[in-house]
Amino acid sequence: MNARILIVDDEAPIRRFLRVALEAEGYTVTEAATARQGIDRTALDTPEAVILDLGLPDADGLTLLKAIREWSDVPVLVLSVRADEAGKVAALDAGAQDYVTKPFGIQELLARLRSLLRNQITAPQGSILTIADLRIDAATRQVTKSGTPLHLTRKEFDLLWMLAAQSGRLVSHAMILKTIWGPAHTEDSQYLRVHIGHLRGKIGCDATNPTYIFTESGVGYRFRTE
Amino acid sequence: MGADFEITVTSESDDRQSNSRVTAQSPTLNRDWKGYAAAAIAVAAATALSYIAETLFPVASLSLIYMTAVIAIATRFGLGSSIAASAMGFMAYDFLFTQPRFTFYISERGEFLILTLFLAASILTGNLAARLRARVNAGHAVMERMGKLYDFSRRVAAAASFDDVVWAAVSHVATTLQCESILLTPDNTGALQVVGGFPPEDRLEIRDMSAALWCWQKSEPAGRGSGTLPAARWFFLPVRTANGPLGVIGIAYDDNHSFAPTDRRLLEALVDQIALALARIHLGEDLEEARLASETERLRTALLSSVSHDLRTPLVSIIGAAGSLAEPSKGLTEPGRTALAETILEEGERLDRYVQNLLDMTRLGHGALKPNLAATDLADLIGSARHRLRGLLRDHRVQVDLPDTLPPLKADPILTEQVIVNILDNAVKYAAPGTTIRITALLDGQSAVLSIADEGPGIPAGSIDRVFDMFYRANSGDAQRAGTGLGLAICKGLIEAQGGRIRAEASQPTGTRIIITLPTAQP
Repeated sequence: MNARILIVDDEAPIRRFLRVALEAEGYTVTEAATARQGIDRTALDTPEAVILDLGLPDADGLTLLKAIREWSDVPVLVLSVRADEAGKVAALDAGAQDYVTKPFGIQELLARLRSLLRNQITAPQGSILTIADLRIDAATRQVTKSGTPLHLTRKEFDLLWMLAAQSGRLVSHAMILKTIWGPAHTEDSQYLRVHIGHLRGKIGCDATNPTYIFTESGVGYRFRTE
Repeated sequence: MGADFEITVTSESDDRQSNSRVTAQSPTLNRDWKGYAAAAIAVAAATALSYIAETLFPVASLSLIYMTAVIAIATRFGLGSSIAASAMGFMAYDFLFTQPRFTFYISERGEFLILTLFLAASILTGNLAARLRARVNAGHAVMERMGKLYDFSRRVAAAASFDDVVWAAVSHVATTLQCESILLTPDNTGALQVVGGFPPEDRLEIRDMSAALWCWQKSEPAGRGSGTLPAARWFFLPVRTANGPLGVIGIAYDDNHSFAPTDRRLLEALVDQIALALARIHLGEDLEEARLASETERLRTALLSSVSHDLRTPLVSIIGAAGSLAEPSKGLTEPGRTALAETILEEGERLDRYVQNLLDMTRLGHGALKPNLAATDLADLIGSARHRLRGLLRDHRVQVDLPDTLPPLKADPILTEQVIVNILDNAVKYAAPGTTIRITALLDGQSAVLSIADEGPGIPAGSIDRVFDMFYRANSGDAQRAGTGLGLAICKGLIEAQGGRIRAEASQPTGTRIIITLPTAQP
C-alpha cells in the first residue's frame, strides 16, 4: 500500500496515535501542527490523502482547505466535532471528501481513509459494481439483487449508481441534488428524501435498520462498503 | 436669553396656597353660555304658555308657569342659569302681564307683591334645585370615579409583570384624567428613568426631569400647578408605599387646563394603587430571585456530585487499564491485553457521551439552540440512531413498527436523532440484556406520536414526572447505574425546542415507555 498520508492537527497526542495506527496499516505518515505547515507539507510531500482537523491555532481549517483546493485535489478527510453539522457541510462544500466525528474509533477512520484512496485509484465509469448481493451494471442500467432484477426508475438508478460508486464515502445532499437534479435544485432536499425512500424500498433496505444506504442526518448519505 | 434659565424659589408652605389656587374654581357657578341660552328659551316658552293660558282661561297667577321654567332650568343647568331665568322671568312677567301692560310700571300693590314674591321664591327654589342637581352630579362623579378606580385595581392586580403594571398605570391615568401620563422608576443604579408613558414617551425635557427628580428626592408633588418648578409642563406625584418610594408619576395637559381637586384626589387614589401593584411586582421578583438562587445552588451541587462521580469513574478505569498496558509485564496474556484495551475504549466512549450531554445541556440552557425544522422521515432517524448505537444495542432486540402512511415529521433531524439516541441509551442502561425495546409510532391528527418502550424495571410510581428533571435518577445510591441524569432532561429540552412534547409512563407488564409528540410536515 504505502500511500503517503498527511496529518494536520495541533494536538500532539492525536498526531501520535494516528501515526502509530496508520503506520501499523502500512501508510507513510507526515505531520503538520499548523495551517502554515499544512500548506507547506501538502506542497512538498504530495500526500495521497490529508487528514485535517478543523480547529487549528493559526488559521481556520476551512481556510486551509480552500487554500489547498486552489491547486490540489488531494482527498481530504476532515476531523470535526459532533453537533456541528453546519461545519461539516461547510467543509464538504469547501472540497473535503468526508469527515469523521471526534472522538472517533480508529477502525472508522481507517475505513473512511480506505474508501477515499480506493476511489482515488479506480473511478468506476461504465463498469459493473457488485456490493454484497447487489449487482449494478452502468452500461445496461440493470440492477439485480441475489440474481433477481430490480425495476428502478431513471432517477433511482442514477441515485443508486452515484452512492454505490462512492461506497463507504459520504455523499452530501447538495452533491447528489446537483449531479442528478441539476444545479438549480441544490436546495430541494425533499425530492431526495422521497427518492431515497423509494430506492431503499426497492433494494430491500429497511430505513429503521439500514443495510445499504445509511443516513447522515442533516448532511447526506453513505453507501455500505464491500 | 431670558428663556435659557429660570430661578425657582420653592417653599413647602407655598404648596398649600397653590392647592387653594387650583380649587378656586367653583363648580356651582356654571358660566356655561348654554345654561343662559336655555334660560332665555325657557322664559320665552313660559311667556308663550302664559299668553295662551291667559287667553283661554284667566288664571290668578301666571307666575307659577315662570316658576316651573326656573325650576326646570335650575335642575338642568345649575344656580347661575336659574338666577338668570328668574330675572328674565320677572321682567317678562312684569312687562307683559301686569297692568299697565307693555311697561315695567306696576300699578297695583298686589301685583307688586306677587312679583316680588315670585322673584324671591324663584331664586330660592332655583337655588335648592341647583344644589340638588350638584349633589346628584357629585354622586354620579363619585360612582364613576369609584368605578374607574375599581377597574384600575382589577387591571393592575391582573398585571403579571413590571411592564404590564407600568402600561396599565400610564394608560389608565391618561384615559381617566384625559391627560398625558408618564411613569418614572429608578433603574439598577438608582437613577430615575422613564419606564412608560401614554401616549408612549421615553424622555422628558430638562425642566420636567428636574421637577420629577425633585418629586422623587423629596417625596413631594412638583411641577406644573405646584409650588416647585411650576413652569414645568408636567405635574409629578411620588409613587410610594409605607416601605419607601417606588417612583414618580407625571401628568400633563395640552392646554392651560388646571385640574380639579376631585381629579387630584382620583389621581392620588390611582397612584396608591400603582404603588401597591409595583410593590407587589417587586416582591414577586425578589421571591423569584431567591427561588432561582436556591435552584441554581441545587443544580450546582448536583452538577458537582455528577462531575466528580461520572467523570472520575471512567477515568479510573482508563488510567488503570492504560497503566497496565504501558507496563511491560510478563504476566499479561493476549486476551488480557485485549480486555484492557476494550475497557479503555468503552470507558472513553462513556466519557464522551457524558461530556456531550453536558455540552447539550449548556446549549439548551443558553438558548443557543436553533432548531432547523425540515420534513424528516422518522424511519430514517430511527435507522441512524440505531446505526450510531449498534455496539451498545448488541445485546437487546429492537422491534420497530411504523405505519407505512406516516407522513414526514416537521423536525430538526439532528436534534431528534439525538433524542432517540438518548432514549435508546437509557433503555439499554436499565433493561436487562436479551429484552426487547419496542419502537412504535402512530398519526394523531397533525402530529406523530412516537413511543419507545423498554422492559426494564420501570420508574417508581410517583416519580414518573421527575424523570425529565436535571440530575434526577430513578435509582439513587448504590444501585445507581452509570449515567449523568441528564439524558432525559436533554430530550425534553430538545423536543420542546422543536414545538413537541415528551412524557413518560409505565409500560406493561414492566418497563418504561417514553412518548414523544412532534408535528408532521404539511405538504
